[in-house]
Amino acid sequence: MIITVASGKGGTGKTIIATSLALCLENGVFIDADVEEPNAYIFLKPEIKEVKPVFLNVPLFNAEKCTYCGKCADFCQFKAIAVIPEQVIFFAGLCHGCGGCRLVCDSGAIEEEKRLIGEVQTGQINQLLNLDVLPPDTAFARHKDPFTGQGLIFRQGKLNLGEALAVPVVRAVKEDLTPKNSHPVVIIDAPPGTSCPVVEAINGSDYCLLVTEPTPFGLSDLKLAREIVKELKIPAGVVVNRVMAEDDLVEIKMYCQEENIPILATFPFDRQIAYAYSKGIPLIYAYPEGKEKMQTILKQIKKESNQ
Amino acid sequence: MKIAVTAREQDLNSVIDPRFGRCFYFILVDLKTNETEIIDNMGEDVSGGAGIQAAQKLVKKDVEAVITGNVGPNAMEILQAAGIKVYQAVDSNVKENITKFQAGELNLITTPNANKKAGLKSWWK
Repeated sequence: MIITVASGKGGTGKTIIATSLALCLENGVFIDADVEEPNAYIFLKPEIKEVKPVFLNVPLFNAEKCTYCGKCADFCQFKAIAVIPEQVIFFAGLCHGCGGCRLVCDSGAIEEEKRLIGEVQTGQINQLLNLDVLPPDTAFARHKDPFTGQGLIFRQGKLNLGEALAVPVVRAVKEDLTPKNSHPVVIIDAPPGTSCPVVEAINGSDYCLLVTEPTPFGLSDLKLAREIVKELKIPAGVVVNRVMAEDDLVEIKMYCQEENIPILATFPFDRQIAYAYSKGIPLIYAYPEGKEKMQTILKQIKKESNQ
Repeated sequence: MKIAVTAREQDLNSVIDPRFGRCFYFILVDLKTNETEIIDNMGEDVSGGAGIQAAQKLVKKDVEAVITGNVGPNAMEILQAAGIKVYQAVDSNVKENITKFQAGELNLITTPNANKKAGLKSWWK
């Protein structure tokens, strides 16, 4: 089963929820698909064992064969090619690597070359968390046995600095993602927002967990994210993070009822969670009810998605 | 000589559109015959590469010079490669700029004077 954690609004707590969900699995795969700024590794502390480059196929123009007819420039939906008399100007940063220019070229003047745009890192989570960085008199002390997530495979995509095109790296980080018996659950931490990389991250999932917060922005972006999930026909549930009072939930509850999507869990606006976060400690070690809530979420997702 | 002016409306009395790539219209004027042609640039409708497609349109129309406000780096690269000269508009009115251009009073721009995506913001100015 593939569960994607998305949010619409950034900073609602996708990563904190996704990492703790993963740590409650005995076996599974964790994927950080927020390739523009992956940060789940801070909480999961993986040991990276394999690095695979991600290339984009971009056109290479052969000046000898080119007739400067301009068909490639007319075809390009992203305006990456301009043809002027006796010269083709290519803007590599705008090219999506679709290969269409090569197909419409009548004179065979376009070849393909690979451009490095990022990488996919794969590893294992096997490092013990150091809970000593937390104040000893807090609730953290109740968790004496930090789960090490040894059954988890970790993967993250990284888009190179200055590159604009995240989708191919998201696609690469999700490659051959069929859940296996040995790793039945895959958790994907999606990028924030509702643009192409998010759609690519969510697409193909069995369930989408939408993390929101009780603010007007949180609700507005939840609605946008919900529209994507609806379009992709993927069942969804909501987690509300940073709840200060029961009243905070009124509007989100109304919306979820209208849309007929369940609120699977709520997490409080809690200083201890924030402190642990700042030290790179996952939520379940900072918040006593965390583990239980994560397990409830997983159970409900299994029920909702009929798996 | 055929020149282009970026404009907000479709006639010579229009105000200048200060954005090159995202301008509403190009008004093309053949200075020999005084013939004009309007190109609907639809520059606000594209998400990216606005300057590139706008410059490409002028190349196709065999324009030799363009009068505008701000040109970004991508558009400038194409315009320069195609030998289209870029002149800085000084007046808000299209006609007035053409008169000044003919009198040789407009300055030639040879380096981009706007950042990428600047035309998305300057609309509010």
